[in-house]
Amino acid sequence: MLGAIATPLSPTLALAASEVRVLTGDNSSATQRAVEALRTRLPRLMAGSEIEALSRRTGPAVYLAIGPAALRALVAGGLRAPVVSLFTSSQAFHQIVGSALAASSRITAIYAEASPEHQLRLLSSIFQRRVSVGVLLTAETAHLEPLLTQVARELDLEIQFHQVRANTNIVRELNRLTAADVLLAVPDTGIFSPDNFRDILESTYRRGQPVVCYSQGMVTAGCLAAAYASVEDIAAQAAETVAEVDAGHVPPPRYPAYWRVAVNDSVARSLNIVIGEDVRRLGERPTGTR
Amino acid sequence: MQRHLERPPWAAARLSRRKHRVITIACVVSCCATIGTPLIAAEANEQLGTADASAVATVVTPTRLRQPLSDVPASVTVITSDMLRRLGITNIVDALRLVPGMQITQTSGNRILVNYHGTNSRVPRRLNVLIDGISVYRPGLSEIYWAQLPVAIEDIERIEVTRSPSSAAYGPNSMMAVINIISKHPADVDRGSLTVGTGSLGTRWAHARLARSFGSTAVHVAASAEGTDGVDRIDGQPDAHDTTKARRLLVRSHTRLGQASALQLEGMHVEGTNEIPYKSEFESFPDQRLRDDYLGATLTTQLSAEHELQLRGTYSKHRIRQEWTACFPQAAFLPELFALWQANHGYANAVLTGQLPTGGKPSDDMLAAQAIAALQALGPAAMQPLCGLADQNRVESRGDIELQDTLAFSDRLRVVSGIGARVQRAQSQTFFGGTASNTLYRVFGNVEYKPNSSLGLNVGAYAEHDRIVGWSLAPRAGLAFHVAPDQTLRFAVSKGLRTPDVVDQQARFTYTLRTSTPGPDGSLTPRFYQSASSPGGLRSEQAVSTEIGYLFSEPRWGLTLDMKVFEDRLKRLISEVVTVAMFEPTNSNSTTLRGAELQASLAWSPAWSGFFNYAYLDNTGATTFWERTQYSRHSGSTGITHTSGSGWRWSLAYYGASGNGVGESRYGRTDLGVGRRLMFGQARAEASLALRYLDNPRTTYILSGPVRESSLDHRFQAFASLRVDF
Repeated sequence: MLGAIATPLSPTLALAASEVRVLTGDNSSATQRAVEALRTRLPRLMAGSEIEALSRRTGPAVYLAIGPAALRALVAGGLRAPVVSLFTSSQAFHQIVGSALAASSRITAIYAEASPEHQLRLLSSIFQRRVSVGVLLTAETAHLEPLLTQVARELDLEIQFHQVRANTNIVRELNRLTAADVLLAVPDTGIFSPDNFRDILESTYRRGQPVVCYSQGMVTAGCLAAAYASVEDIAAQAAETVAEVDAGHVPPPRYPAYWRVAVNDSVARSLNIVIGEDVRRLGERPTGTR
Repeated sequence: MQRHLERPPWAAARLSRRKHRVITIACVVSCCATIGTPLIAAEANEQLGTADASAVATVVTPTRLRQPLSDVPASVTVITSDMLRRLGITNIVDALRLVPGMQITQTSGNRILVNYHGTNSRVPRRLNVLIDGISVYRPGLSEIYWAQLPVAIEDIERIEVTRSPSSAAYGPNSMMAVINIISKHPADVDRGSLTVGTGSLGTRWAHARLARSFGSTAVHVAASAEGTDGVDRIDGQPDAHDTTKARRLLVRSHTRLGQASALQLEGMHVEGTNEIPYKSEFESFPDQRLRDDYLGATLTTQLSAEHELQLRGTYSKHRIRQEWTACFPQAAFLPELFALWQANHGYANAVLTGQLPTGGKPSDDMLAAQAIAALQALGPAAMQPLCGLADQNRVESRGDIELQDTLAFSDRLRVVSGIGARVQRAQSQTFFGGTASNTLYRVFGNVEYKPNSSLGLNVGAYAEHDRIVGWSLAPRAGLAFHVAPDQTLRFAVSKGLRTPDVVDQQARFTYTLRTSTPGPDGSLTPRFYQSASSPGGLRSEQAVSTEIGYLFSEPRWGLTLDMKVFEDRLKRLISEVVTVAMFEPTNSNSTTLRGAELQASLAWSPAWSGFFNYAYLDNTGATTFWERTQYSRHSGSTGITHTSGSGWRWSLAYYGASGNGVGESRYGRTDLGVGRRLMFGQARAEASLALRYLDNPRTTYILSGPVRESSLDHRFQAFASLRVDF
């Protein structure tokens, strides 16, 4: 048991060295739920929405930024302490951190969305055969193309991309991917917005084209399925990251290590897609969770 | 003149109908959802609109509820625009050859007989055709003009064919099947599209479409023109007179009215010409000019996630101008002979041919004496030809309004119900002596109940009050038993109806010649001596269908397999050839159809896909040979398609029908299609070449009297097209 406590990644041990300070961007119930999930993993964390109050505390610290507003505040605050961005998408993280990331190795992230690899693994498991996957990208997310191509190749999936220009009608751009058996959604505010998400889904419905998304909420909204990381998954990985940081190593920004599957059974049934229990059980769970 | 009086044979079913949208219960969101986790929402305050759950479904046609194939109480064939493109299919009729059990006979460029499970080739009027919910079935003479459907194939998103009686959802005239053609949504199409094509038989077509979005409104406008020179020979005579043309304009818009409502407007116009290849020594070709307009408006409101209301109004007007030159002896226009015909057909024919009629009633003898006296008064002029224009001009219209309510009580129980009214008119001096009209009211409903995950029950009915026929009721019950997640057993019993059309019930059939010289009655509009009036009192034709189906899906192969065995008992069939000389429709015929159908589709990789469709049909016990004039014991299609990553695609397909009907020939066709897709900046171009080989270049059929024949001089055909999307 002592050996287990003494592992470098043990959150308990890490806490002994650094104080974990959680900056929240708002006071919503969702944020509160995230803080509570973190607290179960990091019992002595300090949480607050004022960066000044947190930064007045003394001693070594690791800052956790919940959401993009908090991250933005921490980046602007110029703190020297390590910062771990949580619940912020990869696109938003890079937009906010930008050059600051290049200049500093103290800012890292656990992106909000599941990794493209996990998404494609899920997609491959659902269809159980070589299918054509269509992906819409913008200039902001074009960097994902090599990664997606590589993973698709490993999973024996065919993948096709269409890069949309700014200020175009995304629904019409879907026409460029009509040959795809399934669409893969990647987080990109240039593509998916509150204004067009419903239209995008309805357009794919009319074509009988399922969409695999990256969050549970999107599945609820009408995607076929998603690989996603729950709040508890993110919290568990955050605790591990804090331990790494406290041990002197700030890992690079990364996708959630823990993930699970959400399925919209109504959509699956309507599209005559049978999703078995083995697919639903895909993913990686933190120790002690289901 | 008898030849023209036959019922135009490519009729099908029913009057109006609508598109059917329904709430798919399950969760697809009642609340606002967010992109990403709730916390990601915080990053951009991303409150998403909820997707219209009703829009996600494999099929919408069979029950008006959007349902997956595994839940519908009928066998369904879905033909997507992608399939049409992959197979190089360029017209709707050829697309229907993909439907198991669909019997198709094309005897000229525009005489196209489409009948699910065949039966009577003279009057193929037992299926309904909807375009975005608007019926293109003409109520007056039960016609469907396949060559002049108001939608071009380039504008079609998919075709759903419910292969069983569907009167329980769409009312009388959806007796054997419903073909629901769903056009592309204005938000889904490219900003612009141009297509041109040409090929054998003088075939040529062009299509252009523009689409724009204005705020929450998406609009597209499409115009198209097409034509064909038709077959090469009819009854052995070269230069067959069957050129066919169509020009179309389609406007469709979709407006989102807030989060919960949407308004869809649609207008379609089609006009064209059909050369009719049959003439006689007395008459010229009775070519047709058509002009149709369709208007539709659908307002859909989501009262809650579980409750949707839809109000739909449609109006259509169909004009056919059909005039030809006729030259008959003056005697044929004697009013006295007209009166004699009405009393005794045999007497009138005898008098006209110089014979003395006998055996009739004294009143017939008296009228005969008057006719003979009039004939003698004309002297030698009686046999002199009187020439003028005869016509079968008609205008038919239909207005329909319907309110449909869809309510999901729970995950297990959904109900769709509605009421509607329709007014239809048919105006023709020749057929009706003026205007005939009918008003119909209806109420319908379908309940879907799933007591558990293994069982699904659908019970529905459609009751309609027709001012002439009275009430009719068409019920249906279906049970789906999900024996495994990927396997479903289906049992369904349904009743289909076809109400007698306006001609059947209200005909006042007379031909008037428009002449430049006065006829024997002194007028410039003398009346041909033959006439007919509908006896009335006809009842609806009826089909009672029982089917057992099995649906199987295998994701690893992309396989969907649907099989069914069925029995259709058709009763009270109105099978008679009705002409002005012989107009005696009855309900006295029947037949029984039994058989099995299989449809399988495979997509084992993004590059490869294939299909196999087969129907075995046994038409037994027909009480008249007419009900066996379109009948193939074996029919089907099979094919394979390949699409390469470099933009090339090819397809190979075969379509065949054994042609066992009376006077009916075998059909077989092999298609080879090749296409190449190219990108030019933001524009895409696709060039296609389709090669066809016909097993049998001759098509035989019965129209009336002896077997007739249409033939092509060559078995090979080639078609090429170019499409640009931008």
